[in-house]
Amino acid sequence: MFTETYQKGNSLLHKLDPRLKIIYLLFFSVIFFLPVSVIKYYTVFFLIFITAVSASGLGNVLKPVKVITPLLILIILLTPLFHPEGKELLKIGDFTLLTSSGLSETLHLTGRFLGITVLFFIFLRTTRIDDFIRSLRYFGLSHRISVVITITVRYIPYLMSVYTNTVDAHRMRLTADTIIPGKWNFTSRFKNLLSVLTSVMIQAVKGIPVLAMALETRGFGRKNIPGQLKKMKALKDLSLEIILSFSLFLGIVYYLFL
Amino acid sequence: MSESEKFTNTTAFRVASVAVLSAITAIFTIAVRIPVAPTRGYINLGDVAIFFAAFVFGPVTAFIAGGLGTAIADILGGFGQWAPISFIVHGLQGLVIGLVYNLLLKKESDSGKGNLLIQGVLTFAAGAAVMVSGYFIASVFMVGPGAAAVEIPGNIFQNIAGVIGGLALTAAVRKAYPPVIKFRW
Repeated sequence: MFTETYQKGNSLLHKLDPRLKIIYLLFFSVIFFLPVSVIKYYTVFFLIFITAVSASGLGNVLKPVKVITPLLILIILLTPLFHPEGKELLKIGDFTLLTSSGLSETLHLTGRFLGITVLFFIFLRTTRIDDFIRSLRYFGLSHRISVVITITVRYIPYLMSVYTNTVDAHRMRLTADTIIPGKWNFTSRFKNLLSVLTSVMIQAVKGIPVLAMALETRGFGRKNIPGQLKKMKALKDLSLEIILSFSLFLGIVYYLFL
Repeated sequence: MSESEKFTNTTAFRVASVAVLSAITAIFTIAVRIPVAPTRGYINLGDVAIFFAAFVFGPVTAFIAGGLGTAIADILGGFGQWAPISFIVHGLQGLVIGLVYNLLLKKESDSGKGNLLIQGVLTFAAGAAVMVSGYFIASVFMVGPGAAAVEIPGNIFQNIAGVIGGLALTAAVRKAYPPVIKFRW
């Protein structure tokens, strides 16, 4: 069970301040929705791809691309049908399969989806979840919500173990007669699944008052918000990173629009 | 107000309930996957947890737990690019289901009659409308209208499973653990 997508490393992206990485993520995500030419679009994608490969390795970066391949095929097959305008490029009989507008839109959509996929993948690969939450706190996320996220992430492995134990326990109660090999019955499967989910849900819900008491014992809910053990870097210590990042942003905007 | 009601109104209790429900939503999304819908990669039972949260805990818990739980599940499952969309769409889905259910509970307490079928149909309609249209609109921008349309049947199916499972879970949990009735806020 994965509870974190972070991969240890020593690359430039690993070392970059997580607050700056959030700004990078937003900046490049917006770029993929801007009306720019296909060549400029793929230049930005190539830049992100190369950075991702240098931080995580080609094999790792290709994994999410592999996952979205069926969707990319769908985009390639279906998008041209929605854009009959423009110069005809491919025709079967009277039916136009591909136009210049359809090709441009298809390339834009595949580039956008590939770019955003790699962008999010590399952000999550090089940023610890704790650092991510701390950065969100820096940008104004409330203390309560950050506690909720932290507890959620900590609780997932525990509840996953409850789920697997319950599945095993239910499986042990089945007799040889109740399992018909090779026959897939949706209703009985759903019923079995529902009984497992009910057991897990009861376990989880029963734990809420205990967790609430534990939080209260630690002073949660008082007006004075506790400090953090791990502090983030002061902005003045990041001046070089900030200047370089904004120069990069300006350079990319200049390349895209001028 | 009784001691137990006072306790369930505390910030600590609310934070604990939202966090546990978010974790449950993530587990239901990750653990039970049917790889069918090409754009989302899989159909999951996260909606069962969202419907349950809305029925038992109310719209606010369903909003945060639905959004956060599915977003974390997307991140952990390797679909991080969908996380912001899941957060907004599933959050709104939980909120709307909870609000519709609140209205129905109020009407039922006025008339003294309750109808499980009406509850199921109306909450399904509200939840499915938000979730299916939300994902469709977001997907049109991300992957285009053709690929976005392909996921509609899968999303409707997910909501059907969600409302059936959610109602069944609500009844079962209320029966097995009656104090849960006081957890709504």
